[in-house]
Amino acid sequence: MTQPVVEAESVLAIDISSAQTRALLFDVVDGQYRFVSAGEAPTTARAPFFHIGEGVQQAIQRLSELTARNFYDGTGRLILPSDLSGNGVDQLAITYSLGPSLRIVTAGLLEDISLRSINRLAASLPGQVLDSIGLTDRRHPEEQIDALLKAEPDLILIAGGIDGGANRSVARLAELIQFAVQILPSEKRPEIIYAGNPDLAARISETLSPYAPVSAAPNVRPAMEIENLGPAYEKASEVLTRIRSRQLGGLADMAKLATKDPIPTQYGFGRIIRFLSQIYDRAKGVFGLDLGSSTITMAAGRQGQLCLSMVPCGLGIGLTRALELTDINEVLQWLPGQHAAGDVRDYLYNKTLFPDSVPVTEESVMIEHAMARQLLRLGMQRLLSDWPQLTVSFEPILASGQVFAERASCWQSLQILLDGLQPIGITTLVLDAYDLTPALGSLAEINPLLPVQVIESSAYLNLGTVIAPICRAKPGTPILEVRVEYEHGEEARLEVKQGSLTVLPIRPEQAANVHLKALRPMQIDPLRGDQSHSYRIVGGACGAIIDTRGRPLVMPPDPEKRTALLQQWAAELR
Amino acid sequence: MFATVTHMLPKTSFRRARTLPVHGSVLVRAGQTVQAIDVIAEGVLPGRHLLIDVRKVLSLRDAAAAHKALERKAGEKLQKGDVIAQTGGMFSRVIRAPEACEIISIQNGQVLLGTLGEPVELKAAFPGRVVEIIPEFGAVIETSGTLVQGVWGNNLTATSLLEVVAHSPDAPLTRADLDITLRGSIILAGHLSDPEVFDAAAELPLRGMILGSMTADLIPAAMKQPYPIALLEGFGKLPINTVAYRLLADRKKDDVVLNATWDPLMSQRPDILLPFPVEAELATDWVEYAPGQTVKVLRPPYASQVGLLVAIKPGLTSFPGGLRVPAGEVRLETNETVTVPLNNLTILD
Repeated sequence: MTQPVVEAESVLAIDISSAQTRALLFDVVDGQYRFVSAGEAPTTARAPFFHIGEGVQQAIQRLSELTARNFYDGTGRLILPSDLSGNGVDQLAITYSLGPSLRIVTAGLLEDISLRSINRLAASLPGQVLDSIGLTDRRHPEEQIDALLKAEPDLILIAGGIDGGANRSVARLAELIQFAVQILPSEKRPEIIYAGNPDLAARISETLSPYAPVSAAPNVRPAMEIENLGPAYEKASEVLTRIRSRQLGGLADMAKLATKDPIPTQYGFGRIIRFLSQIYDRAKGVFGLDLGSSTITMAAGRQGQLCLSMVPCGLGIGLTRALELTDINEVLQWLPGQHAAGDVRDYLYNKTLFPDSVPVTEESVMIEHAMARQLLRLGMQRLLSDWPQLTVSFEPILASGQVFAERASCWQSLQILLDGLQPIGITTLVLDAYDLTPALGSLAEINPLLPVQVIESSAYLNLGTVIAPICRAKPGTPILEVRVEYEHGEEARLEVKQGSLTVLPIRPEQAANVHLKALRPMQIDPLRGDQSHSYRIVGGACGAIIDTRGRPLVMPPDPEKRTALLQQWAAELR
Repeated sequence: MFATVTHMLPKTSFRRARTLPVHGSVLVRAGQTVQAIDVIAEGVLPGRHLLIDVRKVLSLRDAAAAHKALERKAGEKLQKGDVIAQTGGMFSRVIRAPEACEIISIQNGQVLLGTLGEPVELKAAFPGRVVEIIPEFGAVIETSGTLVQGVWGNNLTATSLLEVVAHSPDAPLTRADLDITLRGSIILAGHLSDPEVFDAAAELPLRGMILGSMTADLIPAAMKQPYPIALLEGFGKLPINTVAYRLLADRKKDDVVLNATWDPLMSQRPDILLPFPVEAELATDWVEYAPGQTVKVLRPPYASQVGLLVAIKPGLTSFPGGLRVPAGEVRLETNETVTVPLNNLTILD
């Protein structure tokens, strides 16, 4: 049961993405923290303003209009804390997800150990690893120096040596980096994070800090078999904010007003996923995705451990990079009807020219939804490549992003998530309908009670429970007998065939016990020990769905057959 | 709500910052008049580096002995063969500079040498007046004339005479259109979908290409061309918008500066300038949406069509795809009035 609020404080969270700036108001309603409203305005980080302040002010102004609450005093200053007449807010938090793709170089000792861990840390950042230097690197030192100079990194991440372990090799790495960094012009010198053997932290700082700012984080690999990325994520968040404060006009000024330092969206998002993973099914873990304009964040939490991956691709400004990584046929496979590859490519490249523009026609919506599926595929591939031990079986899956919040119906969102993520087993799909999760992550530090109570509120939409068994039967073969037992004792029975999407007769918010009987050999939920195949389900906005299309989804190359299949699935869901 | 502005101005003044990719020397002073081809700054791109472990090469016992053997200091410039370090004595072991270079750093018995890189020159790109010096990097230049902005470019710059190949705003550009009379010119053409045209243009050679649109599959080839290419509308088969076409189509043989710089993160778009001295106010880069503005639609179904913003609809408007966003009513040149999301409009100013 939710705890009562001890000390009520209103909170304003500013969330700045490359396209939109949002001002989110949280306050106490009937003794519980609730999301109240959001004001939105275009982000003004780019020309002609090059200052985020204008967009923030407009978003707060819009929020003020919606809530009839003043946030600024007569002199144009934010009222912080709130006054007796209820104007202003008590706390201010900032999250951001904009800025140029970060140029990253990583350095470590062994490829499968420290270098892997530091590359995983790099994967949590919105950028590209342009070079990695390790012990097994066969290049001459001068070639490594030139590679590092060519990369012109914004950030160098160094790891190596377990606690109390190797130090000479790590010191040599630092010397090499020192040679390179001192050549760079002072305004291009990178931030450096050292997250290796702590015995060397002081020496590394002594070697490198005359040339570049050095931050030490706890060892990402304290022992050969132990990886500890959590504290390094926090340090990376702090360093990224410093970098962005230099790159983005106005962020440093806004930070002075905030209750805590601004944090990058992905770390706010990651905090919530890690927190939820301690509450929900500890064996399966919780998964979250945030599909933004410039980046995709994929976060998997299991028993409080977080796996975080970012892909510098999105549906707005990040589309250019996504198209570089995508064969246009991978987008076409999700489009019913005849579409010329060239037309779809032209449409998507035009979107890169006007990233803030929106799809108006049904066809353009279909193309953007097809691209959203492909972006989720790219994100999932990245997550599984960074963390090969993960399986796509989680409970629940939390989806966030403008495409779900504003540009797709519940059924469209469900279909994009099913096709893009292709979850296995039994999972609940939850939609962050107001795109609150990153902000809640930043607020967790200020007010731990607030995220807990908001997540329990109606701000999050249960799309539905999905049962996706793995079976090798031929399409059309009956593979499951399903008995739905309602609370008042009535029952419904149905047979499910391989290769279909079946909506169970469970209404939104209706509870039922679902009993499954396998008619063919199959795996219903790979990470669940319980073999009873009976589940209690509460219907989401789309009820509950059985997805027997197989994994991975293989689409027919023939456009006519593919169209028929896509239309069949769309009809099954309606 | 703020609107993006695309400049289509018959007479205007505007400023552009021009900077080197590396530190260098600025060759102009504030107030100086420059031509498009004038070099305003120069620098040297970084060369290769060589790391010599003096202790190892000379078989010395430690870093201190290596430092003792060194005959040079950091910052010294060396010619090929110059001695860097030697052990001395009857059988002295010597380390010489393998080529002309500079000692960048000496640390822990190791010497880092830097070879000289390629020189780089920065041209003004526009004829005009230097209004601000950016120390060590470049300058801000103010220029005037007719300005038309594009939406995409291949990041090259050129100056020449304008030739109009586009007999209509959507005329396709073919290899047959490129005859010898166009040699050395910057052409204005409608739509390009044939990659062979690039080769023909390079053979002539052309100095630049201003296109209404081009199919997106040609992007890699366009990026490899030695001459600037700018798009006025985007990818696919889109006609040149009527305002731009009117401004450019009757300016055959006029001087034109084509700066096809495109960097979406920095909001840099291609500029097409037909320079002439004129007293005009500086172009504004942003405005708020207001009825009476001339707008261009950016996305289907009315992409590249020009019209008049007649009203801004209150609240949010629903569209067939399910979207609910702020929108405006636009009277197109066909006299049809359509509802368009404000995000899908750019102000022509």
